[in-house]
Amino acid sequence: MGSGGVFPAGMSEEPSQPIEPLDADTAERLLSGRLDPDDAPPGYAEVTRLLRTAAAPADPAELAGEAAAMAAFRRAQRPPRPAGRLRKSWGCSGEASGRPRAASGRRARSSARRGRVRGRLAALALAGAVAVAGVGVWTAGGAPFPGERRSPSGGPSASGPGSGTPASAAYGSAAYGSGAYGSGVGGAESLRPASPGPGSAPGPVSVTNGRPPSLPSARERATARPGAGETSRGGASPHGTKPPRPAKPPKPKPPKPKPPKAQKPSGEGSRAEAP
Amino acid sequence: MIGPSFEAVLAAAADGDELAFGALWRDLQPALLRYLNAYAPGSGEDLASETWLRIVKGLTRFSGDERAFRAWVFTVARHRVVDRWRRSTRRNDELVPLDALTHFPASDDPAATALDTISSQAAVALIATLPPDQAEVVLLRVVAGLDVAEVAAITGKRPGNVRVLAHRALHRLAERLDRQSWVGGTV
Repeated sequence: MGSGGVFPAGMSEEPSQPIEPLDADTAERLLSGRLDPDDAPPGYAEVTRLLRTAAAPADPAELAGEAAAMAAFRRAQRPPRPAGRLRKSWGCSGEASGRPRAASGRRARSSARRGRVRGRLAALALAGAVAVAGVGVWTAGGAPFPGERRSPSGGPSASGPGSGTPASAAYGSAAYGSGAYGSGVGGAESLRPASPGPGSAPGPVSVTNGRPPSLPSARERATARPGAGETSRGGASPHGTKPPRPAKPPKPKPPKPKPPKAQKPSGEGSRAEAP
Repeated sequence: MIGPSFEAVLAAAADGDELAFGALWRDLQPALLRYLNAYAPGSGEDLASETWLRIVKGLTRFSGDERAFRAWVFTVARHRVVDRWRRSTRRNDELVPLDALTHFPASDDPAATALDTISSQAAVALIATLPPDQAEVVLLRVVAGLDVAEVAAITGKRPGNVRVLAHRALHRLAERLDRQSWVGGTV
């Protein structure tokens, strides 16, 4: 907003008689309604009346919306929806997660939806990998080891932490990590398979039938490596036919030096319109 | 102004007492409407409703005396005006700016020549013809009943600047009212 003025220079804005500017005290009295029009300096009596009129008591028309305002106030005072209904609307089966039900239903629903979509994507990727591996095996002219065939849960996790449990358990209750999917509170248990399959001990097994017999197979290499076959991420492949992936030794992470946090003053922030 | 019972009224309203809220509403609504109508003629009621909705939501968190409450209400109202103005600018549906509010009563209108007979609405409309920053200072001081420091806090100006703007506004109003030959729409 600028104070350029409404009246351009040169227009006949001059009053009939020059009006003196007010002193600070008189102006203050005028603005606060404490100046009587009869006591106003010359030229300001009408201003005083104008300002008094502007600050006049309420006109009935100005209070016409009282009923609507009261109704709005009543609506705003209504208690929030009961917790039972809220719980019902969540519709998630993650009761065992142990996570407090503090989040809103919408958040829980969107989280569950995201979990399901992610689960389906992971299942699709896994199925594709299985198909590719199978084709590779059969085109190479050999069948997988018997141990591989009967090991539905051998090898490391296919899709990261928590995804090693069967898909039905993983994708159905993704809301708060109670199942295997995700890593929410209480997910530490679910990250581990309930009972490792018979083929889980040897760990990842590669298909090496197409190679010359003199070369050590990936399986042999894997079993020869110390710690091979242990899934550091706690997941056995649910299908056991995942493409071979030798287990990597866990990388030691150097401790991250934390810079000292600057203490934030706890005073009020920008007030804006907050009370 | 509600007076010494304000704290009790405010506490009761925050607890959901309709009568208490009604007292607050009746005390402030006229001034609120006048202030908002000066900025957005025709939208004052809507803006006042939006303002009250915010007030009701924040009522339990508010703490302060009656003057602080008034200042808060008008701060919220001002924000609603700014929001509305921004939205309407985006829609190319601008509100009438204060600069354009040059509707003066005709000189032969007897109701206009006698200021004591004009309505508060007309008086506010006349104040609204001042330059926007001057008009706002006068409206907040006179209509909302706020002091210099409160107006300065709401408008983001220095108190000295608020005083200067008020002086200029009063002088300009005096000049206008002294001149009886207003020409509608040309000034």
